[in-house]
Amino acid sequence: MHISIRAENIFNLGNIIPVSNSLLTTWLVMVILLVVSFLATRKIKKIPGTLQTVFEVLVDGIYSLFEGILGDKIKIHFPIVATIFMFVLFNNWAGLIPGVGTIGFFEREKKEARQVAPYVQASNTTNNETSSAKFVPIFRAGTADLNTTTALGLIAVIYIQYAGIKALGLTYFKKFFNFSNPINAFVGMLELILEFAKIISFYFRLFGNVFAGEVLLTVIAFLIPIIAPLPFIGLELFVGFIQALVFSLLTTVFLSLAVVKAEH
Amino acid sequence: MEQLGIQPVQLLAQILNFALLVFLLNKVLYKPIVKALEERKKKIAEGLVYSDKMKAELEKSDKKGQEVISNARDEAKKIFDEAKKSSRKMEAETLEKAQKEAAGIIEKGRKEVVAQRAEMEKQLKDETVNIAGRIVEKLLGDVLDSRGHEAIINRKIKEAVKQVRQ
Repeated sequence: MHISIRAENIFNLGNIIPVSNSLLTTWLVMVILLVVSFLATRKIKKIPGTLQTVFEVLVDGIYSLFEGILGDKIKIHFPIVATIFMFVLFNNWAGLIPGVGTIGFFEREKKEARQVAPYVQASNTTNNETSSAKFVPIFRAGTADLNTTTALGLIAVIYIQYAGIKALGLTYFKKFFNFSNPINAFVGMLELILEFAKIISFYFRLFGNVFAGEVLLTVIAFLIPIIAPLPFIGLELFVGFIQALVFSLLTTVFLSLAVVKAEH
Repeated sequence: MEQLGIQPVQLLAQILNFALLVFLLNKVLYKPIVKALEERKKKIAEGLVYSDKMKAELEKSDKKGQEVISNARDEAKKIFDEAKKSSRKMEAETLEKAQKEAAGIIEKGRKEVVAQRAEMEKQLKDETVNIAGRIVEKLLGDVLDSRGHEAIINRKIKEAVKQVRQ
């Protein structure tokens, strides 16, 4: 049983872009999400059909939730925060689809040795075959890859800075560089560190939750393959939703803090 | 970072993915749905306003109808009262007329009766005088001359008439 922290590359696109299994899954999720969204909103009806109703509930739910935090500014920031929610939610859930993480191929030990892949190995010491060939799944939840979560964290924090500067102009930086007295200067420094800490907290929280869920499911399925994983899958569905909510809500809260003048 | 599997190219790819998703979802999902929801909200608000207006109008027209009905009722009552009054008047008039007529007839009848009676009395008197005269003549013809005869008769007649009158 191999559990790899890093997403494995499965092929190279034009020999330039290494496509990992999580990137591939992300693309698939994006395509499905876009196609279904397109189908739902292709013909907007006054009396909505089932698909339109589902998406209306989803969008309206996110909209009114964030509207409570951002107020009138929701109209500007809605696409970003809503997409964070959708992206994280569906990528989290993609990891729970049967076949994701289980369909794959074996890579030779030789190749593995050359790559020096750092993966958590819980190998069976008595069986040499499992250690000689590495299992590489074709699909892996997008958010179970640090590339994805780091990308999201960077986007969220950079967008927060952008929104703050746009709303307050140069006075936005007063929060970080305030030399009116030593205490303010120190607080400003802390604020600056906090901005970078946000990125790390964003991406490690999401990655940690999703990856831990995958590890948990793998281990449970390894121990008792039938029925036992079911409650854990339910739990992971919930965790996936909560993480999407946490990520987007935190972004929204930081946004709402960034666009108002600092009061200290 | 390499140990954790972070590769700059893939990181960039995911950032681009997300940017693309923001752009496309905004176009395909958020804008149409938010627009549709807002339109629906507007429509519902309009519907509510309209229904309120209609309600007020209905109340107004109801009130008006009630007023018309009550007016009509008043009018009808007035007409009815007038008719009643005039019919009563007519009745009274008719009654009076009939009473007058009846009184006239009665008076006429009484007069006639009185006249007849007077005549009858006169006739009776004449007859009585005649009969009495003849009786006296028969009984006293030998005794009395014609002058004394007549005087007695006349006296008796007067007595008789007096009696009758009493």
